[in-house]
Amino acid sequence: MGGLSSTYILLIALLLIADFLFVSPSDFASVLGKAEIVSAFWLTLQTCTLASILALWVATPLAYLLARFQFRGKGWIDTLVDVPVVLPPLVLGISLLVLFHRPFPFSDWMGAQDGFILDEWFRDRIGFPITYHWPAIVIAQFAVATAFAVRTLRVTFEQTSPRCEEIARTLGCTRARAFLEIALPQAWRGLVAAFTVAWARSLGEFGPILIFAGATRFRTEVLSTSVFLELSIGELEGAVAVSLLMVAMAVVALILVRWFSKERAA
Amino acid sequence: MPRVLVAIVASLLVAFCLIASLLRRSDGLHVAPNLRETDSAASAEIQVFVAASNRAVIEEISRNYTRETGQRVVLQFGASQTLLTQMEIGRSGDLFLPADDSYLDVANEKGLIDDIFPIATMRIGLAVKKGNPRDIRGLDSLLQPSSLSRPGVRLVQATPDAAAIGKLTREVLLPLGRWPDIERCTMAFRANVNEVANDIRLGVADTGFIYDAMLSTYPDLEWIELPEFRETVSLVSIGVIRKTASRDAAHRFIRYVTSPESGLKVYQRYGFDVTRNIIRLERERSGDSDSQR
Repeated sequence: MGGLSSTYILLIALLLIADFLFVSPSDFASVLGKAEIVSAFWLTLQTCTLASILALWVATPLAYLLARFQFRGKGWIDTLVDVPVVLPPLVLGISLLVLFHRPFPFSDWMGAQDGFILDEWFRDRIGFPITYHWPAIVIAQFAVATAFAVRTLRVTFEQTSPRCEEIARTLGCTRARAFLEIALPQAWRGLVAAFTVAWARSLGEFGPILIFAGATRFRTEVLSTSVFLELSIGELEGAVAVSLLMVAMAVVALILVRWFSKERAA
Repeated sequence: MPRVLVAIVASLLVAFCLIASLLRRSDGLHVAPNLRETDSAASAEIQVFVAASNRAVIEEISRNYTRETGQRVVLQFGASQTLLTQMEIGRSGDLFLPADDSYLDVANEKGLIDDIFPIATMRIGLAVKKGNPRDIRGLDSLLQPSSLSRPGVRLVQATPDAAAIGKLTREVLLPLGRWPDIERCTMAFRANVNEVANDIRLGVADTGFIYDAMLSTYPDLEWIELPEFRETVSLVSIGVIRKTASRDAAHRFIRYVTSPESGLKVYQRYGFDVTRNIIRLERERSGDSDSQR
């Protein structure tokens, strides 16, 4: 059994070693010194964190609902939530583009001249363009990350016994208070895990971002886009160097979250 | 209660800080309503959909252009097919510069672009690692049967169904009767020509069909000219998106890109053949001066 599992550990270790041997330190330094890569690094960090916080906000009540309550149409909601998990990334990107840019059906009946187009409404009415700007990145990341967060949190809520909440309610506690004061603190580790999964998913997100947010340097270039841009002009060393940077970010994030959750648990 | 409350407040705070900093970093995010509808000469930016394979050369040209004119050029990179989808559904953008002009034909058929301007030409040949370790001389070298002492040449190609270079290769070899053999000895079909070049660089394959212009970004590859492809050129052209809101600005940028003194010079430096364009422009100029006389 140990042998079987060690092959996987070995595979990951060998992959990283191969990457390290492929790039020289000077390649690494020259790529990471580029202004566009530095900008992509910060944009990645900001959008990933924002998308994961939003994902956690939405996923927590949804997962609690799915874990604790029986209601009509639950099966449908359950399946819908899993759709982003199984959807090919490019399909999600195209779907987002279609949603924001095709006129809504029947909207011309309600006074909109060429039909109501979501992206134009955001751009012209609110002055907050979505497509090809950073909000598109966050939306693309959020769409997938939330599905993973819901899955993780649902398991957590299902595993914690509802007994404590029930007892609290017999003592006159409202449903909302029972959720906030008992269910949430009990699910602390699950929340941390869900945040980590959402963050990691957002970091690796590529297909939907490329289609929905585009790849414009200094504007919508995140690190996964940088890898693609470097690859497409034969800069293999650059692509691998950026990939290693992403691995490093993921490792640091995991360590930070683990340390933080242990501190809180203690 | 306090612990949960602290977590909720902290997450809100972090989210607001992130949004604030994202709002500050994105230049030009807050477009005044209806600004794009007016073509205010230099202030409005022009958006160009560029095939990622053209990145290095067009980045340099647009940097020069912005420096000289003050006009901002936003380059939107992607694979040519992805860009087509974005143009079709997104209904935005001013110019389209795909990897080669077969995508412009598709865009034209769909009514997405109207004017097309040729920039440069590329030729198809075989790429091998520097020094040509497998001693590949032409198409016949690819067909040598593999033996124990000499394994067969590993050939990769961009797929003729999606990539323009693959389509062109098949179109040239089919009438010559060479295609069935070449197809049979192809180890793998890749999605695009960059993957082919990367395979050869990494040693996954021995050879593959690529464009000569790619050699400037792949210095450790060597190009082998094929007599079968002597008459075949692939065109790099730029198209004006039909729904562009800044047609004048778009045309000004095209004039810059196709001028022998500025854009074409950069293209030439990156290994593209621009002689046809220069000849055409000179012919046009002499035609102009003739008519003036």
